[in-house]
Amino acid sequence: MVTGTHQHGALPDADQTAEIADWAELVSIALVGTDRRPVPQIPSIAGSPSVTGSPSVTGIAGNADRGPGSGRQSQDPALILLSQAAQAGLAWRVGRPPERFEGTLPDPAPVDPRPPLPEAAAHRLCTILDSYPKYLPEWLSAVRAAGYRLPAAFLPQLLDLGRTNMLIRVDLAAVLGEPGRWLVTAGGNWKYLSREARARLRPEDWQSTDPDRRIAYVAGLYLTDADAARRLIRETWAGERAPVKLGLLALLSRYPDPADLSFVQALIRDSSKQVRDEATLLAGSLERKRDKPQPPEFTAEVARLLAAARGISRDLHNFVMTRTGEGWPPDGALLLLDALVDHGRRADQPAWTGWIAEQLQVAVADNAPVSVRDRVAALVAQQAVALASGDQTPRDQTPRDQTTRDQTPHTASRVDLVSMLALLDFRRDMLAELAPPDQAAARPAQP
Amino acid sequence: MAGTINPAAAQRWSADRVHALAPDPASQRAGAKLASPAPWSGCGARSGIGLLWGDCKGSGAKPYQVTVELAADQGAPAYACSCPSRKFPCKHALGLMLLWSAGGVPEAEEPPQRVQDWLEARRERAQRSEARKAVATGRAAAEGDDADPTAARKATEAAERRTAQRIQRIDAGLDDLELWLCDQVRSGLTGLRAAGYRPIDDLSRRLIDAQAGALAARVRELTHCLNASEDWPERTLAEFSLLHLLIQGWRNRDSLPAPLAATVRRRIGLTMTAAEIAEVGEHASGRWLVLGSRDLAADKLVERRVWLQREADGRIAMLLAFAPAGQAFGIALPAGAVLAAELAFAPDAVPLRAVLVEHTVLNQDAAVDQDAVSVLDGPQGGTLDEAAAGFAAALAADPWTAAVPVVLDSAVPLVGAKPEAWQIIDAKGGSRVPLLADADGMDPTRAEQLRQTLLACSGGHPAPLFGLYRPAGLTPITIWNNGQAASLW
Repeated sequence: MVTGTHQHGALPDADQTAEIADWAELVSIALVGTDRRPVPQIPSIAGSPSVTGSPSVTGIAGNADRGPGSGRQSQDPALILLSQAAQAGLAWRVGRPPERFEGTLPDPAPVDPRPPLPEAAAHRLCTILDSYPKYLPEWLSAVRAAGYRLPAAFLPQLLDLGRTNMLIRVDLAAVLGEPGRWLVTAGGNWKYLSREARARLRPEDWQSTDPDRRIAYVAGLYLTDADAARRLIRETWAGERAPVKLGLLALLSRYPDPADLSFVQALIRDSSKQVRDEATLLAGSLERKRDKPQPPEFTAEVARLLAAARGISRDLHNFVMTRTGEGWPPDGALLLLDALVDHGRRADQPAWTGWIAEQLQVAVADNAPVSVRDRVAALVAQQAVALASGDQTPRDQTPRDQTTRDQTPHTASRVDLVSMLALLDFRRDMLAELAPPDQAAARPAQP
Repeated sequence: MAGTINPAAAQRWSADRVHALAPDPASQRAGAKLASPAPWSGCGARSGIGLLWGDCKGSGAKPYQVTVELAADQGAPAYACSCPSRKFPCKHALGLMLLWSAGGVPEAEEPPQRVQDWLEARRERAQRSEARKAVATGRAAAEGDDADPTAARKATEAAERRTAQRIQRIDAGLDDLELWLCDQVRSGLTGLRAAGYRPIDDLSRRLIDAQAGALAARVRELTHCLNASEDWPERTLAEFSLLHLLIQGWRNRDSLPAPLAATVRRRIGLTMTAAEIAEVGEHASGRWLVLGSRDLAADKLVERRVWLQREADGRIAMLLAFAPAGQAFGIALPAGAVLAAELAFAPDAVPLRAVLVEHTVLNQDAAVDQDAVSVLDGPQGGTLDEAAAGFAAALAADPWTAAVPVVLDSAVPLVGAKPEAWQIIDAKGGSRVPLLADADGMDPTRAEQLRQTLLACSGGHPAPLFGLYRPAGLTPITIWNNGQAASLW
């Protein structure tokens, strides 16, 4: 690409460089200093027009008959060295031409037939990664359901996240698809992705000797037919090598089933120490899971805890926090919301409940179905009306006004409905942007 | 104001265009966070005249009142916000614009009183400054006609005296530099390397006092040469000889060809203003594709470089903008944007720096005829060998050239075992150069992320790549993937 430059002069030809001082020699003289090593005299250097090399360098150097050094110009070895270096260094600075590429290029990434992610959703992903990482799992599973292809520039950052966050790996592997796998093979340090399920089961993966491909096959089988996966693990276990066994154990603990307990307990005598250790850990957690009673139904338990304490309580908080990250039924979420609003209206609350209310409020905003949003919006509107009609404080409140208002909580709910609404709005918009491509008619899908 | 349709704003802006206004990445993120309807109340827009307003709930009791007026003439919008942030535009203004760009701000007939007051005040201010200007021109004209000639002569003399004084200072600073260079060469560069930053800092400060700012910055870069791992003697001596050549060029500036003399003056620190460039520079119009941009933070000032390529002949121009850290730049051009513009190139041995004389952004708004834009869905590129030839030619014309902007037509990144071993392969020309994360000094984690992003965006397919070429390697800035520009910085 020669654009942007004008070809003024040419570089010295090879046969002309003979008249220019040797660059390597000049460098070694400069290293020790001209006081210790003499500078070779080149007759043509002192500004004579016969000097060769870059015409512009020669022109710039000129006759050098000005300045304080002019008197000693031709005598001072340091100045002579610098002048010679300007010419001789030019070839060094031009450098060698680009080397030939003799090898073969690695295979490029396969074409991803999925439609590209809508632009708004791509911007949303930036915001999630920067400010709301807690919504990434929900976002990923929505993208997976809609079947979009991500812009390639996001791949490295998401792969980095999956390295530490095991819970998003299944969705991540599905969303990144074949381009993600290609990137992992091509250069990245994200080997975990090659042990995740592929978009469709490939029996040849199970025939492979590569442990990662075998594990990926079973991971895929778990998604389509978990019982078949469990049978397959039992059938072939004896013949597997340790790396495959470890990967299969990881899958068994990802989908814990007390029915696996006797099988896992038998593995405690495996020949590999790592497998024995993992199996012991897994057997322990399966035992605990077997002995623990079935988790109660969400709505009924919330109702029971609310009735028992006549409002929000520490027990309610503890229960709700064990159920984050799973879909809540709308009626249970609404029960919690109403309890929170009720809590805010009552003035005679012990101080410590404020913290619990705050935690619950965020939990509701993060986990409730988005349909709850309309109820929160209505409550916010009610609050605004109440404020406008009943509250005497002027519109422009200074922070001092804020504290006085806090001392009279009965005028308005202490629950921050507005920030709840903000989070719910964020989630609602996030999910709305990810409507499956065939429903988003306005958007032309590019191949 | 009512009734006049502002063509720049009649269409909603794209989110990219809004993002490009952010003074720094932090504000960009903060703005994106506020681009949801929840914190906003009383929002409204009159897109016809490019006016947006809204109240944003902040940490305090009182919401921040935000107003944005999109300029009619492609200039930067005007913002007002009651928040105390010193960023400009603040995150609230950015959030409001993003919300509007996503269609989240309803059209309203009548803006609230405070917006009208603000507009009124702005108009008054503009009128007053117009009036002041008119008075000043009138006075100047009157003086030119009949005022006593001694005053005019005095003013010219004072200006000449100032210029002469500056040239004297530069002369003295360069004498100083020459003595210093000779001293180092006499006693050997090894000693300078052992002496650390101090001598170079002192020298650079003396050159700043001598009003040779660009030269001072160049001297400060000597520390990078001295700290280089293997080839530090070569790099240092080459830089020494270039500094010496610059001194000689300055002393001979009257006998040099005009473009080369301009280059010498610029590299010493006598830069031309945009108005001067527009007046004397070579004008070039056409449709230009934004190749990419990079921000360099130097002291308290951030320097933004934006490269453009002309559709007709592939000529590359570089726009330069400065802004105090945390403030928005005058130019906001995301990679991939196309503008119809008239540029003026600063006179230089290798003309590259240019200023926008006038321009219209073409593909930012959905309303623009897509056929007109589709021609420029990617840059026009060449091979690595052409890039090397271009660098050699630039170096021959301007010996101080460090790197040249190039577009490769079909580049493929090749993964290396070590960070230094990554390569850029030119699939068309069959040659390769090392991939340089940056010339000197960059956070290794960030550099690794950039390499991986480059790899992910290319997908191993030959793709157009814009970057800076120097013999040591290529620094990628933008890669095109299926016609989409992905910025790597």
